[in-house]
Amino acid sequence: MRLSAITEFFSFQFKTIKRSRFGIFGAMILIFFGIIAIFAPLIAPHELWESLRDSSGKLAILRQPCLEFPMGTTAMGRDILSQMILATRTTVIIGLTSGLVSVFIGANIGLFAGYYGGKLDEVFMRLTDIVYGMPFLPFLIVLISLFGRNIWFVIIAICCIIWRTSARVIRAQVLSIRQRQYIQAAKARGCSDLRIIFGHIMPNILPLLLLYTAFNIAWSVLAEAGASFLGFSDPNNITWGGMLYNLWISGKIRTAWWWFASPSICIILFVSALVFISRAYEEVANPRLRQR
Amino acid sequence: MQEFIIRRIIYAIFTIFAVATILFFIFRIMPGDPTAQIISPALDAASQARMKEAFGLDKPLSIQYVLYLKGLVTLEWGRSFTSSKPVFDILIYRFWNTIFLMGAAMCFTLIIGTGLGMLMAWKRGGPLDVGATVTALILQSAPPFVTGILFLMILSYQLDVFPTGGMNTPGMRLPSGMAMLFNKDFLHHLFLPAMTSAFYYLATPMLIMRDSMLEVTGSDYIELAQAKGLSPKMVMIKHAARNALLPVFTVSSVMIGFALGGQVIVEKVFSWPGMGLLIVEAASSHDYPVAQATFLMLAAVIIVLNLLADISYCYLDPRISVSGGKK
Amino acid sequence: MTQILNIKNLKTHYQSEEGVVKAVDGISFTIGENQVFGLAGESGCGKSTLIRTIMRLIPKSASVSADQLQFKGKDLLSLSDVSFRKNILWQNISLVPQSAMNALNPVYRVGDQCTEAILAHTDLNKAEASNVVERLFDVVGLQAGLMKAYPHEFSGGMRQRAMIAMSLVLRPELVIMDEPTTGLDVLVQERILRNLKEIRQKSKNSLSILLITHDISVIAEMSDRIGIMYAGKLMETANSMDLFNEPYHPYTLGLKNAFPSIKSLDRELISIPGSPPNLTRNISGCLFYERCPFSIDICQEKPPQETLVAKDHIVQCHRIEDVEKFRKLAGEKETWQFSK
Repeated sequence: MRLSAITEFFSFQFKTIKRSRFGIFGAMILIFFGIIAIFAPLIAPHELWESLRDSSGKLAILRQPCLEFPMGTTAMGRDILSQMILATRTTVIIGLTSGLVSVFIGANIGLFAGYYGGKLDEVFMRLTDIVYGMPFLPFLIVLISLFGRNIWFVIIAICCIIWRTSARVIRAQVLSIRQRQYIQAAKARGCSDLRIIFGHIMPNILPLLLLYTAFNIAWSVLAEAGASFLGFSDPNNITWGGMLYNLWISGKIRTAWWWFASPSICIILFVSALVFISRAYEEVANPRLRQR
Repeated sequence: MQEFIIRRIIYAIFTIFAVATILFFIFRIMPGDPTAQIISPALDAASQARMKEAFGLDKPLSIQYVLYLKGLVTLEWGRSFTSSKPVFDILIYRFWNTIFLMGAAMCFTLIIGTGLGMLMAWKRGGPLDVGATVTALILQSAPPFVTGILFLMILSYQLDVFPTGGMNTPGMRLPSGMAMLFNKDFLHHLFLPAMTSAFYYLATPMLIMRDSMLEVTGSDYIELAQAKGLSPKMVMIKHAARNALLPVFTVSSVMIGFALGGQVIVEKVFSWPGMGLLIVEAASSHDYPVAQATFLMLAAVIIVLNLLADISYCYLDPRISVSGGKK
Repeated sequence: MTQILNIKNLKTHYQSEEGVVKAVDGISFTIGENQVFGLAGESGCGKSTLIRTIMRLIPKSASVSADQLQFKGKDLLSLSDVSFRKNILWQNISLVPQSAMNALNPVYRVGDQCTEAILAHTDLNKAEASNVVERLFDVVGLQAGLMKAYPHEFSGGMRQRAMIAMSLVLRPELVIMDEPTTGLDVLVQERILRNLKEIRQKSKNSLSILLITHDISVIAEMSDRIGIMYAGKLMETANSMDLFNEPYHPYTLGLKNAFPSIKSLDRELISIPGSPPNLTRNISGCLFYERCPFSIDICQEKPPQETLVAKDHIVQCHRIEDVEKFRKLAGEKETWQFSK
C-alpha cells in the first residue's frame, strides 16, 4: 500500500475519534493501558509470585492499601500493584491478538461471501450459523479443559468463535454496496475481483470494520476474564480475571475489597474505553446518530 | 412463508448435527488416550477393556460416529465419570433451573431496556438519555462476575437483604413443577442472579431501541400520523415503537444466545444449580461425558431460540412474510 | 363567498447555526369555497414549511407570526395544541403528503391506516368506519379488497390514490396536496388528476384544495387561482387564466419559458440563470434581484410592495409599468444570458 494511503488512514482515525467526546476519553484510557503494557516489567516494583515481607519482617498477608503496598496484598502476601501491572500486559496481548485476528477472519469471510454470493455465500453462511449456535464461554471452557491451560489455547478458542458477528455484519454491508453504480462501473472497466473487493468495497466498510475491531477486542478481554475467573487460564501468565479467580478460591471475598476493586476497575475501564471508541466510529458509520 | 419456515427448520436441525459432529471430533483429537472420553480412567484394565468393546471404541472412527449419533438421538448420553449417574438425568434437572434464571433475566432486560430506549429517544439529549447511555455502557463493560460479586458484597454480605447463593435456603425443599416459580424462597434467591444477568445485557436492547426510535421518528409516516390528529402517545407507541421494535427483535434473538453462554459466570458466582455451573464442574474435573452433553444441550437451546426468533420475526414484519421470506 | 383559508403576512422563522432562516416571510393569500389554489415554486422556496406551518407540524423552536391565519373565520394561531389536534387536523384540514411511498406505515394494513383517523375523531365503530373507507376507495378507483393489503404491495400510483382517499375520510373542507404527481409516470399522473376533478365535481360539500407543486403543467390544469412563491415570499398571485395570459412578474415570465409547449415545438427551452438565495442572508431589496434581467437600482435597495394590478391580481415588483416590454423580451434567449 502506498504511504499516502496509510497516512490518510491514520489521519481519518484521528479525526473521527477527536470528533466525539466519548472517543477522546476512550483513546486516552487505551493509551494509558498501552504504555503500562509495554513497560510492564520495568514498572512493576515487585516480582509476580514473590511473597513479600513488610518493614517489620512479618509476612505481608492481606494488607489493605498503604504506602508500602499501594494496592494492598493478596492472601499469599503478593503485591497487587505488581500483579496488576504485569496482568495488564497479558490482557492487552490476548485482547489485541484475539481481536485483530478474529476481525481479520470475519472481515474476509464477510467480504468474499457478500461479494461472490451464490454457493460460496451459502457455505460461509451455514458455517457462520454453526458458530453462532455454539455458546462462547462454554466452548472456551471445554477447549481448555481438553487441551490444557495455556495462553495460546485461550487465544485460539476466542478466535474460533468471535469472528461470527463481524462476518455477518460486513457481509450485509457488502451486499448493499455491491449494487452501487461505481462498483458496476469498476467491473465494466475490467477491474479484477480482488481489486474491487479490496480497492473499492473495503474502503467503504472501513468505519464498520474499525467499529467491530474495537468490539472484538472488548469481547475478547471480557471472555478471557470470564474464563480466567472460572479457573480456565494460564497459571503462568496472570491476567485481571485470573487475579479475581485467586481471590474467589481464597475465600476472602467478603473482606478483601481492595483485592476485588483493582482488577475489576481495570477491566471495566479498559472495556468501556473500547466501547466508547466504537461509539465514536458508530457515529461516523451511521450519521443519523450524531447530535444535531 | 411456509417454505421459509420449513427451510429454517431444516437448517436448524442441520446446525445441531454439525455442532454435535464438531464436538465428536474435538473430543477425539484431544491429547492423550481418546478412550478416556468415554471410559473413566479410574476403572481397572479388565473393566476398561470390556467397556471399550461395549462402546465400540475398538471399531473404526466412522462406526463410532454412527454409534455416537445414535446415542444422542436415543437419549443414551452415557454416564458421568465422577458420579456414575446417567448424564441425561443430571442434565434434565439442571436444564430447567437455567431456563428459569435466563427467562427471568431476559424478561427484565427486554422490558426495562426497550422501555428506557423509547423514553430516551423521545427526550433526546436530555439527562435521562445521556445518563442511561453511560450507565448501560459501563454495565456492559463490567463482566457479570464483577457486578455479581458487587451485588453480593453490598446486598448480601453487608446488608443481608438477599441470600448469598443457591436456589433455595438449605434445609427448605421447594415444591416441584410450576409451583416452584411462585415460591417466595425461590424468587428471593432468583432475584440477584437474574438482575446481574439483566444489567449486563441491558445496554443492547436499550440502545438499539433508542437508535431505532430516532430513525423511525424522522419518517414520513410518523409525520402523517401526527397530521391525522392522533394523540402524541398513540403516535409514539402505535406507530413509532411498533416499527422501532423490529431491529430490537432481531438483535434480541442473538443476544439471548450470548446470554446463555454467559450464564456460566452468573451461575458460578451465585452457586445456581444450572447447566452453566454443571459445565464448569464437569470441565474442571474432566468429566467428559457430562461436559460434552451439556455443551451440546446449550448449543441446541441456542439454535432453537434463534429458529423461533426467525420465525416470529416473519409474523412481525409483513414485508418479509408476504414476499415469501426472501431475506 | 366565504373564505376557507385566510392568510395574511404569515412568517415562519427558524434558528439555525448560520442565523435566522426566513423560510416563510410575509405570505398572504386566501382560498375560497370549492376553489383550487395552486402554489408554484422551485424546491427550497418554502412550500413545505408553509404547509407544516398551517398544520402545526413544525418543531416548537420555530417562531410563527401572522396578522391573520384563519380557517372559515376561526383564528388558528390562538388555538391550543390539543384543541387544534382534536378539532382542526384532518377534520377541517387534511394532507396528501409528498412521497406517498414513505408516508404509509409499512407494518399496518392500508385500510387500517385509513380507518384510524375516523376512529380517533368520531364515534363510529370499526365496521362503520370501514364502510366509509370502502366507499372512498371506490371513488379513487381502488378495489375494496386492497384495504387488507400492506403498503409495499401497492404500486406508486395506487399508493397515491390511497393517500387521497385517506385525506377525505373526515370530509375536510380543505385538502393540502404536496406534489401529488411527482415521481409518478405521466399516464398515472393524468389519471390521478382526472380522478381529482371527478371527486370535486361529485363531492356534495365544499372541497377546496391547496395544490403545491413545481410542475407548472399540473398547476395550469387544476387550479382556479395560482400563487408563485419564491424564497419565502409570494411574487405574484392571480386567477389562472389571468396569470397565463397576462403575467407580470419577471420570475413568472421566466417560469413560462422553462416548460415545453406543444404549440411551439421549436421553441428553445430557456432557463433562469442562478439559484435561489440563501434564506439566512439579510437581503434589503427584492429577493429576485440577482436573477432578474430587468432589475434596476431600486430593486436592490427597497423590497417591492404588494400591488394590485388587475382584478384579483397581485404582484410584488418595482417595474410593473414596463411589463408589456418585458413580456416580449422574456421570450428571447439573450435576455436571460447575463451574470451579476
